[in-house]
Amino acid sequence: MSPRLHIAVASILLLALCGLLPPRPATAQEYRQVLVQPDPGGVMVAASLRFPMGHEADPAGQEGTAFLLARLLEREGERRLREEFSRIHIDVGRGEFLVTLLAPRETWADAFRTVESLVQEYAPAESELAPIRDAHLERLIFQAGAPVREFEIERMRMLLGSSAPGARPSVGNRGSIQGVQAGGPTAFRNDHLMRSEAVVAVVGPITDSEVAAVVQGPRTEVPPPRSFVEAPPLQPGRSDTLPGDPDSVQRPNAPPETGPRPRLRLPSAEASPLAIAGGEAGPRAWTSGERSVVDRNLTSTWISVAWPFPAQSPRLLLDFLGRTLHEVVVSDPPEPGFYAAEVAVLEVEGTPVLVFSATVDPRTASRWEGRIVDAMGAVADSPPAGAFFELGRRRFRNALFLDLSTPENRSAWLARQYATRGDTPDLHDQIWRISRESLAGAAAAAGPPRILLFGPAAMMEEYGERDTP
Amino acid sequence: MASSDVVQDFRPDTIIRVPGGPTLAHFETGATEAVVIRVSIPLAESPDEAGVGHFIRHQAEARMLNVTSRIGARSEVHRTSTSLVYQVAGATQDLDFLIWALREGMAPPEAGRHEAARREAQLVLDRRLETPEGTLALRLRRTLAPGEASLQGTTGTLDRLQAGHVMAAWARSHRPSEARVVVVGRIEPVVVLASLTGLGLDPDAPAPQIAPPQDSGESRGAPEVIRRWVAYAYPLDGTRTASALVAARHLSGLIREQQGDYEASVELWDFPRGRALVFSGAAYPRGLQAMTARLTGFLEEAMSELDEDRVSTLTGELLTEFRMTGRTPWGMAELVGQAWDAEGSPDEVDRLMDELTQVGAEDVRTFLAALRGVSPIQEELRP
Repeated sequence: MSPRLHIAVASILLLALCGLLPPRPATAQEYRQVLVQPDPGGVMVAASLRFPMGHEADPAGQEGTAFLLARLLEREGERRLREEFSRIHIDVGRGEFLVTLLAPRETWADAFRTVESLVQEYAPAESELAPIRDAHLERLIFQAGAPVREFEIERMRMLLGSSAPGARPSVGNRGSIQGVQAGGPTAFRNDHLMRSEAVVAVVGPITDSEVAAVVQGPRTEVPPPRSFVEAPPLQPGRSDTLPGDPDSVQRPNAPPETGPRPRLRLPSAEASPLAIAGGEAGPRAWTSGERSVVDRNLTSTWISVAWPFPAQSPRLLLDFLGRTLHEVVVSDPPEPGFYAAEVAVLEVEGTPVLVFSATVDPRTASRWEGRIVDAMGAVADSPPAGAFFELGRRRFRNALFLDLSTPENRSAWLARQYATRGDTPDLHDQIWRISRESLAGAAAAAGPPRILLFGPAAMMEEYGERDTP
Repeated sequence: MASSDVVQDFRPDTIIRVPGGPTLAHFETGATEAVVIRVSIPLAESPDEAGVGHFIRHQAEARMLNVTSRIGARSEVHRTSTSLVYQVAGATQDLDFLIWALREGMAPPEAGRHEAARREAQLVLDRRLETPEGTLALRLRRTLAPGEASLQGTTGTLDRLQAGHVMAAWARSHRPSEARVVVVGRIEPVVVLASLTGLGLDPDAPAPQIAPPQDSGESRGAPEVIRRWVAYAYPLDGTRTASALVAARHLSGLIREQQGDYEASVELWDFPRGRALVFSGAAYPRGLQAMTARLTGFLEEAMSELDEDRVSTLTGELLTEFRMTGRTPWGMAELVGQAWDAEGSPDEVDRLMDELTQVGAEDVRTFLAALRGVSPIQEELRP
């Protein structure tokens, strides 16, 4: 081997060791990426397969096709997985089709292969579709006229534009569902559930090599969560009593401060705050705001305020901003006239949009609209300080960690993160890097809001004027 | 699922027993940086102070929630047949807060919150007594375990328990040496143990001696009964067995598969000093004969419908159910802790799962046959 070849081989090996080689394109039989997060002490294996196409790919006039396909796959999957004591669940989003399997470790490999063949080969007969379609039609008839459903459609139209495919109802409507025949879901599956485009994440008591034997594709091992609390000096192994003198570890009568004190491991001082970069953070979903009122003779008003953010905004920071806005706007206990509120960060044309939605008494709608809109400016000018900021960040962290404590939520989250960001963030590190200043900076980066009011226009106007000083 | 395939899932990674202090079982698992700490304190109640555990629970829960709601962690306190259970769940980085919540929860009861606890306990009991199934269950339990306190209390004891009685029950039970701690999460168990230092009462302090109130035996209201309700209870001896679990599931399955003109159910009951297999049902006159015949001949029916395939399916379902519960850190802590409290070993769930992988149709048949030789305890409610 020539010296030049030696250098080339050595360089490739070095790059491979550093994980810097460009990802190898997946073949038709391979997934785009396989993520493995071993949890040796876990008792169930969760595997999520995320395909990057959702209900916005439903054929025109056959809205609800992806939804029906999901229900068909779940029902057939439940039947086929019975002997593996496993469960299947499918979520259909605007731009994703997420299949999640939960299986005991002894049978997960067989269960995964069952799901794989189900997703790739299942072609339902009309007799299999009919009962599912009829049951769904019954639900749609029951829900017909529900104002919250109409509000959700109006909100998506506000965000995406009224003619955008993603603004159509994910569950379809009576006309479109009646028009779906067995060939429809099969065609959707053939056209959109491509193995080479899917990201798979497997979490649980499995090893990387065990996954490699079952799931084909380039793999990345995601390390299990670290312990962030440093132990005091003693390190017991599996034992019936502590080594050494037990009294040195535990004195039941001693006050708390006399015991060995755990210490928290924090990110290094050099870690920069999680923030939105100024100027070069990319385009936004829109550059000018608007306000629209949809007049409906209802006893409640639904309000939605949506702010566009630069494309490169850290998603976790926006999630925290949304939670902070919720805490600023909604008092505990709730004020009269307030019924419910929710905050979500959605993707619009590849950029993030923070959406605050609330349900209120129509007579107070004007006041709540003002409060929601003003809240963003308030956080930008004067974000929670000191203990208020610290406690808010802890609440955010706990909600996130507890939600991701189940293996199926974790696998779904890993697959989504990788598919949309290209990596899986270190939550511990990123949450510590959220500072008061970066929160204020995120709020200041909000673009002009789009506002939707859905309710009795005359009543909102009458009482809105009375509220005006 | 073949028995040889099953891996031990519920065996603690570490067990630490501290002389004069709590015993801790640690499971190093979890998909995130979350930790769950479950502390159980055995609490036996005398019939004259029945329901006293509820007073402690009510106050503890409010105090813990006051801490955990500030940081978005979870906390709960509940009463099992043997113990009071304090549980917190949150990020490992918030360990100090979680321990603070536990300290708040396990602190002595306060007289100021006593009346609120009484009102809640009375409401729960009244709601139960308003329903035929609640009244029937309470009567059956009294007959099954005479002399044992009803953990929900009675109308008489709930009216008369005073703050001093609650304090006395707390003081005699809340001692460090009595505590069993289950920790689930990626954290060094000694860190938790060290943080728990000083939790509970001084072990040498005498518990206050206060004569319990006399149960006046008064009862408020009675359920409106429009069907005939019957219940048959078969007392079970010894530890929880795989055969009993499989048999109960088999019987429930038979009811689902072949329903009649009546309502029927099968339950496994745990109470402080025993357990029982209970069949119950309700029927209008037209279905009464069929229901009675079904319930009295239920054991024979179950034995005739039993084969290896069915037992294999049932054990697989039970194992999966255990694992579905244990897949979350709080589910794992509760499953292990409950079995530990009931049977005295932190390995109990693992033992039971192991037994489930080996149980066969003949074992379940033997269990059912033994019950057939016992006269069940019977209770009924008539319109």
